[in-house]
Amino acid sequence: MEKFVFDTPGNIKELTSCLKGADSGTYLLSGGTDLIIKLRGKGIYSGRIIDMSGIRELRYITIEEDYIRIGANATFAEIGESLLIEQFAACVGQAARQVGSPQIRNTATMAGNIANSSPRGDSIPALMALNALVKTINGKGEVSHRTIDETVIGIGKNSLMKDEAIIEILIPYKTEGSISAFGKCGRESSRTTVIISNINVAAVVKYDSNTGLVVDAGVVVGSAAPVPYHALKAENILIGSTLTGELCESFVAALQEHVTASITGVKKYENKIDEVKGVGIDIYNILSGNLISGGEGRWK
Amino acid sequence: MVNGTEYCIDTDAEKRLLDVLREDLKLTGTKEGCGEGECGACTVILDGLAINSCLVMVGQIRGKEVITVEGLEKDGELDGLQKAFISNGAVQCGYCTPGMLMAGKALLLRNPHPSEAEIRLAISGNLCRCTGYTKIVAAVKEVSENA
Repeated sequence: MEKFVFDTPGNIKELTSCLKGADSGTYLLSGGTDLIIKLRGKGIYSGRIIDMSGIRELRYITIEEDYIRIGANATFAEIGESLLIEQFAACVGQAARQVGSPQIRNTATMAGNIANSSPRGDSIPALMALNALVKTINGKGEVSHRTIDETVIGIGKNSLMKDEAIIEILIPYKTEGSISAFGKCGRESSRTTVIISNINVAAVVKYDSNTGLVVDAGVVVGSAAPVPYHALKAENILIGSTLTGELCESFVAALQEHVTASITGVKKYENKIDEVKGVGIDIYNILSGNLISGGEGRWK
Repeated sequence: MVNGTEYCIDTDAEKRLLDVLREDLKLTGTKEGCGEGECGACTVILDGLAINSCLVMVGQIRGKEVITVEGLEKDGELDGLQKAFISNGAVQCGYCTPGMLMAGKALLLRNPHPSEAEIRLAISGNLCRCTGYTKIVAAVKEVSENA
């Protein structure tokens, strides 16, 4: 009878030991909200599961050495409620609060979301906008760092080796003068949660405190291509500018141009071109200070 | 531990918590609606937090505490939330009810006086095809006001 071997490492050292000899039939379990559905959907009833969820030392959110560090087992609920994240990486917190439902957020992890590499994953654009890094460890105990776009390389495809596990996400510590925002429009509009993104956008701007001009910007569009991408034209519109109402139109138009190009003429995706307009306006208003950042769209 | 009782179960670690509750422990109050974490019918409380039991493997919950809808009743008396559901007409077909109760209970354990918005957020992962949610919200609100 088909069965799984279920490994339960209690710390990183045991995890490394478990990763030795991992092969195509080995599955890493973090929160499990994607893996269980995947295994059942594909009719996979045997192999090896390495359950990382019990590794307490991987469940943290902290600041250390110029980075906000999120352990691989920190849940979306914890990330969404973190004051640290809200203060220094707000778009990540907003994305986390809009993943799934309260029940899913209490179990699902951002590390798992990255590894799952869905084009519709909400945390991925937010992390990309902030130039986050992914730290991994392999069966030999070797530690590596990759950018998000080096990790998420295709639809459901990541660049991790079979014996490699994400153990930490590092977000460069955004100092004062930065503000970030995340927005999404869902595929099913009748619900307020458990909405899979039909378009999602994350953006961050850094202001010069003397002039009020934007000196740096990151804008990432997700759910409009196999992998999220930097919307370079939209970024360039923001850089060197003051965020006026007129500029919002240009910013949104640039987003629409990007989405039009990235959906490559596929008719069923054309609604994304309209949806990114609404998402873009909401994000722009947060970046320009007109809308309270919180993922719920409250006006000042 | 489930509903205050410690269990040692000989089963496959990858078996879903939902299936272990229903099949191994015969606690059939927790329902399966979608099996994908979208309907919330399988909601239980794990270490104080509402989770979808269809999306957790039983091997993940070793050493943890689970509360199911059967665990709300104490010494033959229904929990205040259960009574409020009945008095407010928040139960129609009843299929979503265990999940709704557990989502509501999880909220009240963390926040005894939630606002309506907080109640609606807490049950936003639970679908109901019958009640239109209003009476469910009213039931949770009644408990929060009387706490």
